[in-house]
Amino acid sequence: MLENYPAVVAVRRAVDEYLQTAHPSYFGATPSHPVLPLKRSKIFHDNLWGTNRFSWRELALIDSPILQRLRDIHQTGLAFQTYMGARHSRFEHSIGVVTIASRIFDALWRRDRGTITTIVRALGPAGDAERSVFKLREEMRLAALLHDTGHCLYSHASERAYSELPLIKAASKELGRIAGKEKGAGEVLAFCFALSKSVESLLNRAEKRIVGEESSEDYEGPISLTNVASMIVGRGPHPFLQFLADLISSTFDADKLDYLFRDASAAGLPLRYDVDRYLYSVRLERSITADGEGELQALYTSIGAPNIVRKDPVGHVKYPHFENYRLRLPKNAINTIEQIVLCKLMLFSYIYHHQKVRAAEGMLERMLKRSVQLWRDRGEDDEQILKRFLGATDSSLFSGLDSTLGDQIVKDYAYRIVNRLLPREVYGASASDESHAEEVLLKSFTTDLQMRGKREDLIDQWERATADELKHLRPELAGRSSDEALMLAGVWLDVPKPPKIEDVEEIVIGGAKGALAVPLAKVLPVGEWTEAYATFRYKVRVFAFSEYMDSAVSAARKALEQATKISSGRFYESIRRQRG
Amino acid sequence: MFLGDFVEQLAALLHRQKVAMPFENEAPWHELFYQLKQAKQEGKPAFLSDLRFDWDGPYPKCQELSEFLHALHWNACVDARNPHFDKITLPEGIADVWSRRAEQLDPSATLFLASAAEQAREAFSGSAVMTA
Repeated sequence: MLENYPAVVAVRRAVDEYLQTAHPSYFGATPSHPVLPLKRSKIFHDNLWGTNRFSWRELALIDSPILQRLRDIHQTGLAFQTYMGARHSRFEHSIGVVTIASRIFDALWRRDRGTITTIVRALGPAGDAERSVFKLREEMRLAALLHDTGHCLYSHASERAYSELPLIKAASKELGRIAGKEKGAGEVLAFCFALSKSVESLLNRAEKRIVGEESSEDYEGPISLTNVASMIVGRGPHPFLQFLADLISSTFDADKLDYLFRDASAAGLPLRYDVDRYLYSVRLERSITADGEGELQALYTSIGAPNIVRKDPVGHVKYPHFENYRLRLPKNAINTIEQIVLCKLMLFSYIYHHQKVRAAEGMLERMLKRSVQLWRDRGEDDEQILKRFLGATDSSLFSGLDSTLGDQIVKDYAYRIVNRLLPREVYGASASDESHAEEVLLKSFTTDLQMRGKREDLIDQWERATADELKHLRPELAGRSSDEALMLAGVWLDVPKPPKIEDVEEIVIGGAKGALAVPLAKVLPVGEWTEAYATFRYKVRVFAFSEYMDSAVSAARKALEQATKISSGRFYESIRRQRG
Repeated sequence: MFLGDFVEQLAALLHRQKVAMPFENEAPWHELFYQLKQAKQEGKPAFLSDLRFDWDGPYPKCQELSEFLHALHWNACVDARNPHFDKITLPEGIADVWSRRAEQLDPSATLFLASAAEQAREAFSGSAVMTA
């Protein structure tokens, strides 16, 4: 499958080498695990979703370091420093996603049994259709289980650092051809875990050690890890199986259903949605996906998808396309959709974009980027650096990440993060500051910050200007490089990534009882909600350590003047964080 | 030039030409950029060749374009409350800033932008809104 994706192959090699080196008893040349015979299934209890049954295949992965390392990676990064209850990990989230994904699948099977049976019959030779369905269910569950295995310490905070490795960027671009959209660095790694030789050989060994009577409840036949990997990145292994990938990675996927509920519950926020109503409503819908550039055709061919037909433009469909089946919520589930959309916006407002969470995670990101530079200065290549990230979980921060670096700034940052000595907001600008005369210039600047490529250039220019001014104002920083001066002062321009609102504005929901599908924005005031969020909650901020606050106020202002062309003192007073 | 720069300059030009730009129905935007990617004309910005389409849905959809159109709305650079988010309305001040940036383009890029505006006029004429 991967012959046309060399960067993905290199990342998969790094994943395998990491597993073989770090965990030889599981993945080395002569692995000893699993030592004891494996039960065919076990029952787990999750605090959110209750009981679920896990197959021997799933247990082999859960009991291996691939999943166990997720126990030491907080789901919401450093948010627990602000919301003290938010200590849940990627591990319980992954288990939860398997549970909720299975419930969605089972709801579809109950409702659309005929359609699903027709689909599996169209995919392969006549046989036991029900057995084929349960094979797909098992592959979907494994995708749910493995979907977050690519996360490293403090989840997205570290992802922002390793996503800048050229190897990961190249792999992300290659996977974009498979998925049709850019995939995050964590998803690239999870995809590679699923396709690794280590996972394959672990499952092969585990199969030989299962004991007990075969159960009619679990599928135990062969599975395709290629199918599992493609679901992780949101592409069904066949156009008719797109709904399975939708279950793992789409607008209303099992991942979102779990993290919205889990993050809100752990943080103590009263945000809820009606999951039962979701399960009563969710269904399959026949749809089409355009393939004008032929990437989908190439993907399905490379993975050997059976009986695929790329249809020519016909009627109102102007592009070559594939017919597929998608996961849809009908219009009569509007209350649930509304709750999910609002939950997502509120979680961004309360947690993900909270200024202290941004401050802590921004520090970690800078510390990791400096570490990457230091490793690179020592001659390490991307694959070696990637293996360092794979070996790092949250507790690594307590030992300063890599003691051999011997870098005082990295040590200080680790100490500060662990002890919550965080920088403070110096300036914070949002669209609600538009009453001033510089409205156009500010909007233009903040929009430029949303452009890929240009954003990095603008931040770089702003940082250099700020560093120059800081070095001028603070003699102890004078001999330092710009990067070091900024790190010592704890100064940076923070531009959070907005929630992917286009997902909800664009989503089409199915009409009830055969009525035409309609865009969600026609039914719910999503536009107004997002506009209100952007206006009053979303902020671009400047942070600085308390010790450098006064210098940062003037240095950041001078650099902002250059970047925005806004010079009014009144404007800077209005966006300056007032204290006391 | 980045995708966002091109969208801004195109939007400013269309605003001056009183061509209505769709917002809620993004399809004409994506189809336009899909055509521009195939174009062989001189002055074609390099970013166009890197755009990836066929993300999802019945038309060739580009995630990066979708994100940027919504970023314009997010940052209140465009108004879409008219009242049903059908079209993009550009405030004069913003249109001025973006037009000034377009003035710095080299002649072949200017010609390409003008040609893109012509195609946009046609592509957008079939959408829900007809006039600015």
